[in-house]
Amino acid sequence: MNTIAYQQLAANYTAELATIDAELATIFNESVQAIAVDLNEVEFTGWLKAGMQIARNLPDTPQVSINYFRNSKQILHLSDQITVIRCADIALELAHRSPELATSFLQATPFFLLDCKSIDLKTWSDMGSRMCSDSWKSVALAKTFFTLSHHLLERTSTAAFKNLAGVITELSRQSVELATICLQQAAAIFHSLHEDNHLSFLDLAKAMVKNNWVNAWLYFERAPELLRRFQPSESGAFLSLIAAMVNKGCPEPFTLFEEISHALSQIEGIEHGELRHMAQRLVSISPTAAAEFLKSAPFVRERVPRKAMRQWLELGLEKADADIGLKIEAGDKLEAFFRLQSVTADRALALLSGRVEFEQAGNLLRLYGQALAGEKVRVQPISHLVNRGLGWSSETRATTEGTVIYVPPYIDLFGDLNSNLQIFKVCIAHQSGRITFGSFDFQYGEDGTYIKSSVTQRRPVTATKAIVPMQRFFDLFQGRHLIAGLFSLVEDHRIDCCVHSEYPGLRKWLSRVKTHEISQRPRLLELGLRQAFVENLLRASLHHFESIRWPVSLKPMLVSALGALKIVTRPEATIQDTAEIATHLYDLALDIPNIPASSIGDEWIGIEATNLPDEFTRPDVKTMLKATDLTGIAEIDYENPVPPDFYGDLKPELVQTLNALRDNPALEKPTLEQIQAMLENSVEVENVDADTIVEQIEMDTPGIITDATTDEFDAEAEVIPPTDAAEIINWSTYDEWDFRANDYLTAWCQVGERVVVEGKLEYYEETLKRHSGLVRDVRRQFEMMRPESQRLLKNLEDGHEIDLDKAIQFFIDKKAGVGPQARFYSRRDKIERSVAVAFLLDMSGSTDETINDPGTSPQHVSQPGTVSVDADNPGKKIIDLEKESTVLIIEALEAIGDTYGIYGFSGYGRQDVSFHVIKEFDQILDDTVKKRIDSIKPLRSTRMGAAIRHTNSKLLDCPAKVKILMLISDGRPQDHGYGDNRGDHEYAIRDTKQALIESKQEGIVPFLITVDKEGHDYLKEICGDIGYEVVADIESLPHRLPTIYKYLATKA
Amino acid sequence: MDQNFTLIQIEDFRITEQPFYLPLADEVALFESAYNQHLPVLLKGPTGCGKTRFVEYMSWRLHRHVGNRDEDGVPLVTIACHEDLTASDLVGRYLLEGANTRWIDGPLTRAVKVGAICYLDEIVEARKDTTVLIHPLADHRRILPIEKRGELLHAADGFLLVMSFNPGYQSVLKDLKHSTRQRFIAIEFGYPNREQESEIIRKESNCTEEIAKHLAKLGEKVRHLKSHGLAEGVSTRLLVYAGKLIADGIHPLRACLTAVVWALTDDAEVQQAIHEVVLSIFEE
Ligand SMILES: Nc1ncnc2c1ncn2[C@@H]1O[C@H](COP(=O)(O)OP(=O)(O)O)[C@@H](O)[C@H]1O
Ligand SMILES: [Mg+2]
Repeated sequence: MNTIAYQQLAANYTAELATIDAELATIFNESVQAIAVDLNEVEFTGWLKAGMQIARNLPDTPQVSINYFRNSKQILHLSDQITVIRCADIALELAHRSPELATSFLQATPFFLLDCKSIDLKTWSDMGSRMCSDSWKSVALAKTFFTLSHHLLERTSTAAFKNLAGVITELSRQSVELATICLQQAAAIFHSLHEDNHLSFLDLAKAMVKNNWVNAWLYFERAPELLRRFQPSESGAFLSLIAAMVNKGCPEPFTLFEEISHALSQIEGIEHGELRHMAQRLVSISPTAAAEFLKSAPFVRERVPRKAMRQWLELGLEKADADIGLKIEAGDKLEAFFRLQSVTADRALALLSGRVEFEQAGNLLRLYGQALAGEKVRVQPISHLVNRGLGWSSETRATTEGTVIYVPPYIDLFGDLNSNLQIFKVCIAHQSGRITFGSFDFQYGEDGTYIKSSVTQRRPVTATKAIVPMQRFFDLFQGRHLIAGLFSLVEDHRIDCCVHSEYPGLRKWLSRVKTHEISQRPRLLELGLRQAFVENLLRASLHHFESIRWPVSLKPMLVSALGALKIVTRPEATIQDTAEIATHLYDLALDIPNIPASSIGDEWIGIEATNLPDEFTRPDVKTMLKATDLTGIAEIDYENPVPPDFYGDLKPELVQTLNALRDNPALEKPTLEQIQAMLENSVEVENVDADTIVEQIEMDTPGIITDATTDEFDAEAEVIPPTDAAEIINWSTYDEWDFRANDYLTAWCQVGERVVVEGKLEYYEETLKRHSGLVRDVRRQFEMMRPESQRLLKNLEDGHEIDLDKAIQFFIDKKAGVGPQARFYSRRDKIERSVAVAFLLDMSGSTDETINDPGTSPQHVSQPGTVSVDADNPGKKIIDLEKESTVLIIEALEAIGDTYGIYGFSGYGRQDVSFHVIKEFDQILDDTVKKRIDSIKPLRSTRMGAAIRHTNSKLLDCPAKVKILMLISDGRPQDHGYGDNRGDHEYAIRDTKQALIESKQEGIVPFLITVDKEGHDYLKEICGDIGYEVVADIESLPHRLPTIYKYLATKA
Repeated sequence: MDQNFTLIQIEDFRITEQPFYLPLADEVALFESAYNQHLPVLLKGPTGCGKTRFVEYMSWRLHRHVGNRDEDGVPLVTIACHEDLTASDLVGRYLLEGANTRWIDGPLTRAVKVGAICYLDEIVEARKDTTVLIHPLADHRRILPIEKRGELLHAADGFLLVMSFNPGYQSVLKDLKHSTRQRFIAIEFGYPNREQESEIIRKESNCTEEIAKHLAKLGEKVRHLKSHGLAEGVSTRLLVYAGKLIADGIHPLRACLTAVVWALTDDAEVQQAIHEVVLSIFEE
């Protein structure tokens, strides 16, 4: 058929189409012309009819038919006539939903057909139409889909394309806008992601949409960037892994993805694969644990070698296995382990890394230092001293300023924990040696044990009056830097010898650390000659004569110096001897020109430790140097050799000044100007001013601290929530224990005591009813222990029982004619049983957590295989358990007749620790008390120490003989400012422990009951040898309580 | 029948062989003076610091030097106080003998009669109503009322009341009444210093001088930890025990572990700290 014939055939229709739309008619005519050549008559008619059907059906939206006609030729070229017809059918169908949709379908089809990867046209159009609901927005989404399809298909596989459509459709059910954003992003993602990973990317997308669709768009937006952080070959596998985590219940999928990618960005790419394998093992046990494992991996990896990561995983799993045995939820434990929030984890990490952190061994080291140096001496990390701006600046070297021993933040000299711990001990022993063997006790002009004082033979080089003896001594030398270095060298040698003889057990470690230090020494030939001379002395002080080398022509110099140095190793040598030896060495050293050591062409020889002179000798260096031609060789700047790390810094002049400021009776208190002058002259410090020093020393003195803190009170005052005006609050003040300072912060906490408002009586009664069986049980058990808890009163004139011994004695006495009183009765009396017990309930916000769900997220799902705590009441909170236990305990104590008080505590910050009275000791159990129990609710933070101290003081006012404090809590002390930050449990734990020790010291028996198994780890820390118990469910209370109580009441 | 034990009446117990006692300060002179002037003595100090040993030594010394003949020198009557100690336990009681009764003196009465040193060990353990019984004995009156017999007993010349008291575990429950306290002169006992203690340890345990020195050093160091739940630090007694174990061939580390570390505390952290100190002093 020729074109003309078609035109005639079509002409009939043109008129009709023109009535619908002028443009349509035009396009139609153009199209007929273009397509006619390709079709036979039947085909042409079919094509024409399909178009006409659209046009007739949609007279109001000619765009659809326009596009049909316009694109037909292209579609035909890419496929066949049948497909063109199908297009029309589909367009018509789509037009029912929305003509616009049909239009964009028709517009997109030619592009789609260009590379449709065997996706059927209908399938494709269905994908788009599924995205469509009634809203215009969804239509727009579907349009976008059609438009973008060919871009997407260019970049990804059929399967991924289909999955993407599924994800977008799913998301559009939640939010069409977000779905649109994601869809628009998809092409870019496919572009930047290797094709192999497209499916995994979509897996995670799907999981996200299902789990928490709100952030899914973030995933689409940021995924390309975040994925670059993974080793390229691993990114897909990680995506699938994260998808698995999310599908198993990990909350906040995007954050999870972001955090994991961040974690991995800090680890070498080649290690990603093995880490992923390890995480995969965890997923089945606890997906959250797997996530935590990856998140904490950089921190762990920084501390342990690559090989040890697997052991790290095993240790965690082992722990979980053990806990399954204990019926503790393994998942939670694992989670805490890998979140590094468990003591076991800390230990495992320490074990694997071998590195000993001061933070972890701190308490042990504090005790150790105190034992060695005396009760008043404290041990702290060096950073504390550096921060004080007193003139110490090294962050890694041990030192002391006379009252505190400062140690490096960690030691990792050796590969195992014990060795490194021993090195910590060596450091502490050396510093404590300075304190106990008198490094700071120098007196001007006093003789040493072995050497007479020679200070009178010298003239001071400055005119200023010295404030401390050490300064006066140093003022005698022109070369202050040199004398300071020699003084430290000799004194450290003396101290080292003292430590060596005082602590034979440390010798082995001393020699190990010295061997290490020797390996770190600089090369002699690279130094100045004078420097090499001093360096040799330092090597001798490390007892390492083997490494000494010295020009043969100058041998007598070094021999003389070594002889002098050796005097300090004698057992009775004092700081005065040190000063004299340093003076002698100074004179010798000054004789030696500090020319480059390498310029001495001599043979460099070793020197024997034997046959050294016992006295000072002063060989004449001039004659010795005569043979060497030194003309033209310039001296270089002199630097003292850096003393070994374990000796650390010695600043005797500064320390003596500090001691003078500390009101040391042996020293006169210096003025600000004097200190300033000393600081300017001293070579021990740089950039320190007298004001800072005086201020800092004053801070050490009690009283000042309390002043300083009042400001803080004001600053924090705004945080206090307004309290009920009608509420009467009784304030008391308590100290708090700062374990880092090893001291109390005086008057640190304010505890406000208030009475709990009354709630409903029903709560009490309903609890009784609900647990009626239990209540009966508890009462019976307590009643059973009653007789034995009563005390036998002897020697009574009247009573329930006759004491046989006494009765016989009485009759004998009577027979003998003595008329004693008939006191042979005895009686068991409840009054004698004088027990007072205070129950202290944790009312902090954390008790709001449900027992089954210790995770913080509401999405947390209990994993199969874990033990459900209270199956019939899944939503039970810790506070509920506390309240129910209280009711039970009240019932029990009423049965036994002991005095008891019930209190709750919470609060925020140290100036508002709120203490809630539910029942005072002397109050009887009436409806008021019962009603108050109803009002117990989770409030704010947990400053346990202060609450315990307040309870202690209440118990002390009680006349009872046996006093018991039972603290019922979730076991996690935490408060604003209770430690450096919220994650710093150490401070809170130490203070709580200290408060409990105070209880003990005051004759109170403390006991902790926790209702949360998560608290287990911390509790162990808090309690030491104080008793505690984890009560996982209320059902076990009746069995445990009487036992605990009986044990406590009789132990006391 | 073979009798392989000796039986002596409580009031005949005299310390005839010199016990080893190393004077720490002027306590010997003080005690002698108190004895001569009938002033009751209160020995204050932590457990195991040598109070009992001191009394034994003084009783031997006085026995030797006060000038009495050997067989009627100063006897030593020791009474360990406890909660159930009654007045009768101290003063005496009637016993049945056939159809009749016989009075038998309690240890305090016997000591009063023979003029012995009567040592009430750990007096705070006794109930307060028992403690008041000694009041008339402990002041210038020096009399013991024997209620059941309607008698008053004047103390013989050599009689001296001595009691010991450990202020360490002072609590409201266990404190001395002031009326009791103020009848005694008090001699304070602390732990000996390092040199003294090492001599005591060496003599008492027969260990080498070096070991004794190390143990005394350990004692000194551990006592620095007083504020950590170790109310009193380690006693000389425990150090002597350690010395004895070592002298008998037990390794010093092991000996210190059993006699010091474990004996002192149950707090794992403090235990470890003490152990580290032990490890620093003794070589493996
Ligand atoms: N000054 C001392 N001289 C000799 N031995 C002493 C001395 N101090 C303590 N001891 C030793 O300590 C042990 C315990 O002393 P002891 O007198 O029983 O203590 P206390 O009565 O104070 O509890 C004695 O057995 C003795 O070995
Ligand atoms: Mg004793």
